Amino acid sequence: MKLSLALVPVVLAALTGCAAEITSDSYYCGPAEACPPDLECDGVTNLCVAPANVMTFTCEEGPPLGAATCDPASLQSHGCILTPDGADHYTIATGAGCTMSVSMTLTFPVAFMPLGATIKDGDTVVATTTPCGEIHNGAWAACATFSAAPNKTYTLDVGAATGATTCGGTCGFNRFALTVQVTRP
Amino acid sequence: MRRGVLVLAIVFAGTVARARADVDYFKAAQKPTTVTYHVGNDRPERTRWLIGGLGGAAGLSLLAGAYFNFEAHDAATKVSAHTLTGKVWSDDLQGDYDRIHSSNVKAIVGYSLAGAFAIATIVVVLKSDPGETDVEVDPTKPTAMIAPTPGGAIVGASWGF
Repeated sequence: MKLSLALVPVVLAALTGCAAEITSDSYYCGPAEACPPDLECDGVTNLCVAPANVMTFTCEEGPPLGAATCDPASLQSHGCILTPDGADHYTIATGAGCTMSVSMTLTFPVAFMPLGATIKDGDTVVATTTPCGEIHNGAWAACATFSAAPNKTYTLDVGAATGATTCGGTCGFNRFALTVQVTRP
Repeated sequence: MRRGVLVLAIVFAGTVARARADVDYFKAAQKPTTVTYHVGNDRPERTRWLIGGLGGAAGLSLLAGAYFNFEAHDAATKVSAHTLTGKVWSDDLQGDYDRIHSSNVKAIVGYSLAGAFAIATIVVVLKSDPGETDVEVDPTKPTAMIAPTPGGAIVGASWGF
C-alpha cells in the first residue's frame, strides 16, 4: 500500500511531464540539515547527497589565535562545537601602548546549529556577534567589532547562538572558521 | 425561392480556339425536373444550451489543466539541478518542490474533467441529432439567353426554384 502511494507522484509527473530532477551535490543543506526528498545532508561537505554517500559529521580544531601586536594583523583559526552547550575558547592579547580595532567574523554551515561568539574582558562582555552578510557557499556569518585597549587579554567564546535550534539534539553541533582582523583605528 | 443561373459560353474565335467536332453544343437539354434538397433541423434551445455548456466546461477544464501543468513545470524548472547551484535548500525551494505535486494533481484533474466534458458533449450532439427534412421544389420554366459577341455568341438559360 505504501509503495503504491509512493508511486502516485511518479505517475502524475509522468502524465504531466513535470518532475523535479535534483542530482546529488546540487544543493547545500538547509537549516536543520534540510535537503530535497530522497537526498540527505552530508556531515562533511554540507551538501545534499544520495543516502549511500552520506558521511558523519567530523571536524578538527584549529590553532590558537595568537597575540596581536601594535601592527595590523589577520588572525585565523577554525574549530567545532560538538554539543549544544559546548564552547571553544580563544584569547586575543593586545600589545602595550596601542589601541587596536578588532573586527571578527565567524562563518559556519547553515546545515547545523547556528553559532555565535562573545568577547569578554574578564567577566565583562565587550561585544557579541550578530548575523552579517548573505549566505555564501552554504555558510552563514556572524560579525562583531570592538576597540581593544592596550596590553589587554580578551577571551573569545564560540558556542551556540542565542535561541539556536538544535533539531532536538540531532543537529546540535557545527564547525566554524574564525577570522580576526586587527587594525589601527 | 432560390434562383440559379446556368450560363454556357462558346466563343467562336477561329484563330484562338476551335470548337470540338464531336460535341453537339446545341443539343436540347433534358427537361428540368423537381429539385430535392435536404434541410438540417434545428435542435431545441435547451439542447443547444446543454451542448454549449458542456463544450464550454470542457474548454475551461482544459485551460485549468494547462495552467496547473504550466505551474508544475515552472516549479520543477526552479528546483531541478544537475550541478552545484551554490544555493541552500530552503523552505521556499521545498515549497516549490511540494507545488510540483499539488499542481500535477490539479492538472490531471483538469485534463480528466476536460475529457469527460468533451465526451459528454459528443454524446449529447450525437444523441440529440434532429435529422434532416427533404424539401422538393419545382423549377420555373427556363428562359433562353443569347448574346452576340465579336466572332461568336454567348448562349445560356436561367431558371429559378
